[in-house]
Amino acid sequence: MGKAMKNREGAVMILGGGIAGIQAALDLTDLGFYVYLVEKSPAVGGVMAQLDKTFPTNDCSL
Amino acid sequence: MLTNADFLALEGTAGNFTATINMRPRYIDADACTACGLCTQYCPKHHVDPYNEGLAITRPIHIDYAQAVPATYYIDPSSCLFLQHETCQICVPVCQSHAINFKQQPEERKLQIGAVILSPGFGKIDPKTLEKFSYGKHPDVVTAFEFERMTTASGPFMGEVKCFSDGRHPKRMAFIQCVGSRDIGCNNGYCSSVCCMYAIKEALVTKEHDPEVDITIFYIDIRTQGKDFDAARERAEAIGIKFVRAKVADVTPWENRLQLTYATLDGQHKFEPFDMVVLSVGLESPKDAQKIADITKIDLNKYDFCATNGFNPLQTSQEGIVVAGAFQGPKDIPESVTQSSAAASLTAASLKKVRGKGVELKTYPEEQVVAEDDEARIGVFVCHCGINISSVVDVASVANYAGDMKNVTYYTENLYSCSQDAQEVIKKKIKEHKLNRVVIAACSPRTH
Repeated sequence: MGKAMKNREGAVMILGGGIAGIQAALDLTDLGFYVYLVEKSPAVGGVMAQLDKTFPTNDCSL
Repeated sequence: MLTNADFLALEGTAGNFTATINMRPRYIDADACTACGLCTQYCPKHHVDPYNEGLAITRPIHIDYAQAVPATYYIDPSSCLFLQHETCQICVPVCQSHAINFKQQPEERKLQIGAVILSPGFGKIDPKTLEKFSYGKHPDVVTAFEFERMTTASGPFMGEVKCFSDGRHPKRMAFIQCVGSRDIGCNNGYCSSVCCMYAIKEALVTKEHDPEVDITIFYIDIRTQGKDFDAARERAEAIGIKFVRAKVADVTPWENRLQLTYATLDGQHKFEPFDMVVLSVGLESPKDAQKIADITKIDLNKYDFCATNGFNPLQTSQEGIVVAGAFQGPKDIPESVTQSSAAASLTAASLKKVRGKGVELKTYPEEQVVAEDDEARIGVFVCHCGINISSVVDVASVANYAGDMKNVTYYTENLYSCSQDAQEVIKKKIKEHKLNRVVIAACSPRTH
C-alpha cells in the first residue's frame, strides 16, 4: 500500500539528480511545473560533485 | 527532492503516469539534523568512503561532503553496527538534537506525474576489464576517478600525488587512454568522448602540483572536439606533457615500478617503466539501465544506453518519457546541461495545457511595519550549536549580558538555532514579545 502524494497536475518526475537532472529540474520549475527529483543516493550532485576542476579551462567545478 | 529513493514502477500513459518509488530510510530525521558532525566523530565503526572512490575511511553515519544537499547526515546500513548486529547505538545519545531514529522504515510513495525525464547518468567500467593493466594487483595503478580524488585539494590527500605502494611522489607517470571504451573486448565499441580531455586536465593539474613530474599520455586518437579543447592539449604539450600514439598491451609490476608494453603505429614493441599509471576509464551505461528499461518500457541501444533517433535525440521510444545526459550516450558536462534544458523544454511543451497548475507560489507572511521612531524591541538568541560554540564560549553569560542591554526585550539560549523546531520557537517569540529587531548569535550550518 503506497502513500498517495498530493496530486499536482502536470508534475514531472526526473530520475537521477546529477548535473543533468538538476539542470532539467531548475528549468522546469522556472517554467511553472512541479518537479520530483528522484535520486538513489543520499545527496544530489552525482559524479560532478566528485570533480575538482573541469576542462578545458580547469576552473573549479562547483 | 526525494533522495535515497529507488524507482520501482511506472504505470499509465503520457500526461498521466503514476510512478512508485521506495524511500530508503536515512535513520536520521532530516528536520532535526543540523549537520554538526558529532555523530561521525563518535561512531566507532569504519566505513570505506565511496565518495572518495574508496581512498578514505569514513563512518557508517556520515555525510558525503560538507556542502551536500540535502545537508542531512545518513547511516549506511551495510556497515552500521546496530543495523547489522543490533549493538552499539553510541550515536543516539551523542546527537544533541535527537535526530537519530533507528525505527525509520522504508516508505513507498506514489507520484502522480505527467511526464518523465531520465537522467540516471553513467556507470563505471567493470574492474575485470582493467585487470590486464594490473589494476587491483598493483596499488600504483589507479583509475582516473581515483586520481581525481587524489588531486583534489579537498580530497583525502589534500591534493598530494603519491604512490600508494610506498608513499613516494611519482617521477614518471603514464595515462592510458581508451580503457573500457573503443574496446570490443569489453563490448564497448564506442568513444566515451570525455576521457581525452579529463586526462589532459588531470595531467595539467598534476604538473601544477609538481612541475618536475614526467607525464606521458598513451592514446589511440586524441579527440578534443569541443570549444577550446584543442587549445588545452596544446597547452599541455607546451609544458612538456608527452603524447604517444600507441596501443598499450599490458602493465606489469617490475621491481617497485610498473612496466608498460606498448605497440606504436610503425609496428614496434616498446617497454617503458613508470612509477604510477592512471587508467582513463570510459563511461558505461548505468548499472541499472536494464531495470529502468524494464520499468519504463523504453528501448536501449546495443550498448545499453537509451535508444533515440538521430533527428530527435532526446525522445525515448515511449511517449512522455525523454532522456538527458550521459544515459543518452557518453558526454561531458556542458553537453549534458544543454541537453537537460532541451529535455525540460520538450517536457514543458508536452504538458503546456497544465502549465502552472501544479505549483504554488511561495507566499511569505506579511511584514510587520517598523517605523523609525518605534521603540526598539530587540530579541537576542544565543546559540550553543551543541558543544561547537558552547565549549569555547560561555553562552549563558553572553545571553545574560545581552539581556541587561538597553532595549533588549527578550533573550534566550538555543541549543541549535538552525534546526526547524528552534526556528518555530523564534517565530513564536517574535510574535509573543512583539520584537522588531532580532539578533541570532550563531554559526552557519554550512560552515562547519
